[in-house]
Amino acid sequence: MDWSPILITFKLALITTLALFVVGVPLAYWLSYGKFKMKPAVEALVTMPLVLPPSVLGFYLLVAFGPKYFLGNFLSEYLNINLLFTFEGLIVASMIYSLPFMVQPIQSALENLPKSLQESSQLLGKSNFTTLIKVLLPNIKASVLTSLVLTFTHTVGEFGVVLMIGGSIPGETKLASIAIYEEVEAMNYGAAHTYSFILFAISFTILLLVYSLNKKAIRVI
Amino acid sequence: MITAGLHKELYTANGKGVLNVDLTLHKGAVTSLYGASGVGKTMMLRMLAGLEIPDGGVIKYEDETWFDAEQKCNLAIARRRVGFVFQDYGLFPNMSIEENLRFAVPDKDVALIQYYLEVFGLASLKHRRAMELSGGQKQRAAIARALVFKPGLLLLDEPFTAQDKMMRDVVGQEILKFTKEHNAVTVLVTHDMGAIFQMATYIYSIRDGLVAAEGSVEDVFLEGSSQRRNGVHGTVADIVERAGREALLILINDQVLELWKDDVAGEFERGDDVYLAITPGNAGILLQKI
Repeated sequence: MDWSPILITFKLALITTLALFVVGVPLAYWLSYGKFKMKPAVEALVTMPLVLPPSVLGFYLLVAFGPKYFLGNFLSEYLNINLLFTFEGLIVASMIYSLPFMVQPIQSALENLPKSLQESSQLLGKSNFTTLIKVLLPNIKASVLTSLVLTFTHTVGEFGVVLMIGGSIPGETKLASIAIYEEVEAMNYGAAHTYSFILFAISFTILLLVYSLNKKAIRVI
Repeated sequence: MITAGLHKELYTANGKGVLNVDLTLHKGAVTSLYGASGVGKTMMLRMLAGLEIPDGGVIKYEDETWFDAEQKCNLAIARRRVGFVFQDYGLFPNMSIEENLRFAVPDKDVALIQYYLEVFGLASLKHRRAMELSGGQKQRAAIARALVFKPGLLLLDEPFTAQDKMMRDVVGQEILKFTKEHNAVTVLVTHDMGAIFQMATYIYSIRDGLVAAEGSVEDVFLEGSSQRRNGVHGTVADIVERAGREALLILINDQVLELWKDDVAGEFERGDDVYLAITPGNAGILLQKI
């Protein structure tokens, strides 16, 4: 059996989750505490991947990353980066696709914290970064954990977007979900079952761990 | 000294209103903002701290402009050096009480932290988190955190609601001591008449979004206000004990009124002539020797 689709899937999920954490936490903070007119529009954009069919998102990303259009052309011409049918392209697409799973639980948790926590820290002369790291995030540990796990497991389960952006290049962009699809098409149900069961078992174990840890985190807070 | 002209539209349970007040807050003294609930006292504190932006007006600390609507100037919150005791305390739940205080002290002045922990009866609880404390302990921890920060402007929003009289006196004395020693501007919002009498040297009575009366305690609650006409004169007939508490028996027109001694500020003896009034707002009781 070819293990590379499984390994690539988890590598993609891990990198996407870490990169989205770095991007998503400041974005959630900004949406929670920022006062600006375009906030509803930004919130709607962040949420779009939740409601859009993956094929629609995949199509627009395919167009955007393509050499005929501005972004793809700019990246290729000036930075020598090609996002179509590459692992890097999968990371960018996954980050966009999983963005609401990282941002929304953290944003919601921040908005539910008493306003006086953030304000007290600001009044005590602390920067936004110190306030976030030392005051806010430690008080929403459970939601941060939920965000990380939802992002990870959601990325593991991607199909439509990654198929359109990454294709199915063995050892590079062929993910487990795509491998399952191809094995089923080839009527090779045994291999499809093996891939499926591995994804099922790992996803279930992660969720089980998270629910157990979340209960402990809530008890601590 | 802080001079503040504050203008702000308010949306309260009673509907839309406008706050339009001019304040002069002196250093080394406690100024009290007094008025009914929903009149905008907390909003005034928040505007002074920079947590809310006034619709108009100017806030100046000495010669430094903190806010000027016309000049579009609004000094960052962190640069105002404000200590704020919130009604919900604002203690960080992930930290112990001692850590909360240490977070506020840039130079980690351990002796100062230890001093307030001891005076406020929190020394034995310093390793506990806020959620493990009673309301009164949390409130004292929040006040201690504001004091160790050594602010130039100390804003206290109902800081004694969870304190008994003895603790209120202790904490009140510490706030007064801090205000004088550090020449701080302290603003007290409270319905606790005892605290106002104990601490405030100047009162702003706010009504319908405007300053209805200002001056010393006597000016606002006696001479200069309708309270003088609304109150009654009487005599302390006796001081008795009821269920472990002391009660004053006030003789007014051959009728005896009983008051818990805890509920009024000041010391009284049998035979004292007194003036009694119900103060505006949350029906505080004013009792004063005459």
